[in-house]
Amino acid sequence: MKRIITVTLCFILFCAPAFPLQQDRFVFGQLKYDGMWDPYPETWQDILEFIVTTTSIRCEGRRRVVSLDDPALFSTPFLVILGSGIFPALNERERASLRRFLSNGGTIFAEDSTGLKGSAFDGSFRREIAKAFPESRLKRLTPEHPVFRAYYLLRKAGGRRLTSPFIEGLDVGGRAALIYSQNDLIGAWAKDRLGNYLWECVPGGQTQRFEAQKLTQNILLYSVTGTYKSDAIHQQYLNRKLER
Amino acid sequence: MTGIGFHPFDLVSAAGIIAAAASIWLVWRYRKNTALSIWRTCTCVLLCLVFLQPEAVRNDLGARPELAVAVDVSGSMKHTGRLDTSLRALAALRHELENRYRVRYYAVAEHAVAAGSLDDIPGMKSPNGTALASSLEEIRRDGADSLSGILLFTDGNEQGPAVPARPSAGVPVTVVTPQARRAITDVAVRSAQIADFAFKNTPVEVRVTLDALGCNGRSVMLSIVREGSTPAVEAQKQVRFTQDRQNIEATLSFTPTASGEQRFRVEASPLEGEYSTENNTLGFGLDVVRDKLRVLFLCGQPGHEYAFLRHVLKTDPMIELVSFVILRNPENIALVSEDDLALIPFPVHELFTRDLFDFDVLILQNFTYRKFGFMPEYLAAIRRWVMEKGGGLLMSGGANAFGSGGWYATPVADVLPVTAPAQGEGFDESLFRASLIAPRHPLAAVSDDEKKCRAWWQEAPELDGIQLMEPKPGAEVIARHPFAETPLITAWEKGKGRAAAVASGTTWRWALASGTPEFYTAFWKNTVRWLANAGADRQLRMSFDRPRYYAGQDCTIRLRSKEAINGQALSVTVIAPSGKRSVLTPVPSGSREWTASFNFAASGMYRFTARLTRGGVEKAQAETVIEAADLDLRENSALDINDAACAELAANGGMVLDDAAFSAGHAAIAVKQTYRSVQEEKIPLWESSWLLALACLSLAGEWLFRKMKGIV
Repeated sequence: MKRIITVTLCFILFCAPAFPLQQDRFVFGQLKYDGMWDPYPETWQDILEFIVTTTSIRCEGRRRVVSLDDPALFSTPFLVILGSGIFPALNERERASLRRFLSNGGTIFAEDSTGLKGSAFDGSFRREIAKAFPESRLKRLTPEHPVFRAYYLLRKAGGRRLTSPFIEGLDVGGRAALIYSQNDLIGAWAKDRLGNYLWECVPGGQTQRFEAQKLTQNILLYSVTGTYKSDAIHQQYLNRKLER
Repeated sequence: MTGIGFHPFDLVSAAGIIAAAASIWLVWRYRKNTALSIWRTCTCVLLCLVFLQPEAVRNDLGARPELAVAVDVSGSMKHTGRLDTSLRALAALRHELENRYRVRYYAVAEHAVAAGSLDDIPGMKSPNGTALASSLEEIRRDGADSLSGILLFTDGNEQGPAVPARPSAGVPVTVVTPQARRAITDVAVRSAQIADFAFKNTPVEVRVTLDALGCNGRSVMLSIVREGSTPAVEAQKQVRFTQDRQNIEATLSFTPTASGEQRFRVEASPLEGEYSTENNTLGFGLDVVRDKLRVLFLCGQPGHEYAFLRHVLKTDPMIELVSFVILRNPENIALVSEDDLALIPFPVHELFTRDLFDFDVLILQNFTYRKFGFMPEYLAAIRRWVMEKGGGLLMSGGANAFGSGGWYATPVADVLPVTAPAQGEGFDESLFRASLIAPRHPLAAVSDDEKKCRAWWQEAPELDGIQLMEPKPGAEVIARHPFAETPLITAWEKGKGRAAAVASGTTWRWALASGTPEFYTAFWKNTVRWLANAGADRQLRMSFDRPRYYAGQDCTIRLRSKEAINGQALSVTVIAPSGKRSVLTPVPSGSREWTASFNFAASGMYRFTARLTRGGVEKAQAETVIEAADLDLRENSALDINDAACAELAANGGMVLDDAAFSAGHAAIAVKQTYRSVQEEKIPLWESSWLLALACLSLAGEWLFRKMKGIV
């Protein structure tokens, strides 16, 4: 009996795919690197639950953690990069992998989880992005950018802290393939074991938190709809709503 | 009298002249009596005249020049009072003309008809057509060589066929243009110049030429109207006239918003008291083509398949994408008010009753019709759009596609190249690498290099899950699952359109997991272009040589194919207003061009259908409807004096006068100077008996005088 169980376990371990089949489901991917890559290990569940409750997206019920040299990276079109410390210098292979991922259609949401200006993560991450994409640079996304209209109609950037009144984007192949925030959007979701929010959102309190959650959802929606909301057919409706 | 001639000498004449000369010499040699010498000399001269038989020659020019007086009795002359003006001017100078010329009268319109006299012309039939040049040729042939000139009263409203550049060769034509008896107010749209085709959503200019008569200081509104069940004004422009007789050009611009062969008309708003409003409109056809393929992309739920494919289509400058993705289902909770959501209603009714027919390709990606109030007629519209309008349908996989989306029970299933297997559609949840079956199919050609193409398909990243289906008979499986006997990519031509099915909703993996997304991009661009090319009519264009045709006129049809003529056969079927069908056989006139001729026997709508075939299989079709207007409209389309036509008629040594100048000049017209031998008159002077008697008396007198004087 033990032998049968052992063989079955071996079969499952070696023959089953590294990750369950996702088909056309949305997968919350997160980049693992040497450093403080996971300041909010639980928040993805709340984010996905929020998404599933309010939108028609089908989501994979688990987070996929990948590294830049992991082949699974290329099965994970949406990737979150968080950090509260130094983002490590990438080697050539990792840099090429990052470049290929974004050039081939992947989307990254990167965030400085400290919510502080001039943090170690901010400087080091910008430096690595500049090395990977010397021809492009992070630019402010205007309120008209589809990321602010992907689902909720937002007028400005929110977050746990309002370090910057904007978010930035890196244009790769005609789209903002990498979105970067310094406002700790994900931190606005973080809860303790009792379900209470870990951090106050300053200075706007709960309203600011909700704005941060809506922007988080918009970023995820943006990764699966692209520039959909910039289509001409939407403009008259959205402008009318914005004027109210 | 223009000269004196003599008969040829004969022996008698010679002897007589010698005798006379000798007598004169003897008289002078032995002159003793001067009076007698003079007498005898005169007698000898008289005898010379008798013997030489002189005769007077008179070239008689009148045999007066023969003149053809032709009066244009067509509708445009009669209705405007110009015919009356012409007849009055002629009547006033009638005797002067008839004294100076031998006059023959004609009434001209479509043909020249001889009239007994000027009085007969008013009662002659006034047809609606005017063929002046050919009528003048008929008069010239009728007059043969005796004709010295033609006097033509006309307004130059020429509608006839082109005639050799110099009409009535050798016979000068004096054209008299009569002024209208009554003031005429008329605006006519003479022409509308526009390119053979225009791009959809791109402004196009129409240059309109107006003929205005008696409109000084007045304005008309010029409009471009798109014809159809609900005519729509596409452009308008106010045009003001500043002269009584004015030929004015106006340019209007509009943007065609629908593609295909369309009919438009130029309209000039009618003026009060206008003579004819029938000539205020002029129709023209315009083939509106797309500079871009129009793709309607409906997605049932946001996902990476949508995002990746959307990016490909959106960044293709040759594609105009309209997409809708269902972001929220009824069961989803709204945490904010509708005003804070960037959502718009899904315009299902407008899309499937109005807009669908304006698209080239419809993509249904992971989309079910069941949630969105689809009426059965929408589904029938999709089928009709593919079958009859050449639309390209693509259904792509996902939880809401094919059988899972309920599509097999709808009319849309008729056009899909796949169907559910007998046991029902299932889903294979496994990673698999597509197996290429038809490497030469346009969809599979992801690279121009066949080796690269095959290599990519062999190494393409794995897809995740596939819907289990069966290809329909006649459908081509391009790629399939390597183990399960189920097609991945299937395509076929259905009716006039095309349809394809992709049984997986994870082709984004071909982009993300490849070294480069170019093959993924190429595959989808191939797919969309292949689907869009189903509209075969775009392969063949048909154009006509004139903007307006009238009953009885000939037309030249020009047909252009996208492909070279080799191996292709072209025929044009024409259905006349009476329902009579005739088939034209166009003649090649270029590597990709044919021409054909057709005569509009009667007025009405004519349907032209051109079919291009290769090996008996129809490859392309073009169809258009042309209206041949009634002759009344043809005659009334230009009421102003056509100076250019008049000048052309008078080009061969003639002149153009108005009726006032004609009257003031006392019918001074251009005629050919003719001296003809047949008019030479000889008056034999020697035949006069008085001359003979005088000569005889002179001889007798001279003899008596000598007897009496005793002169020997």
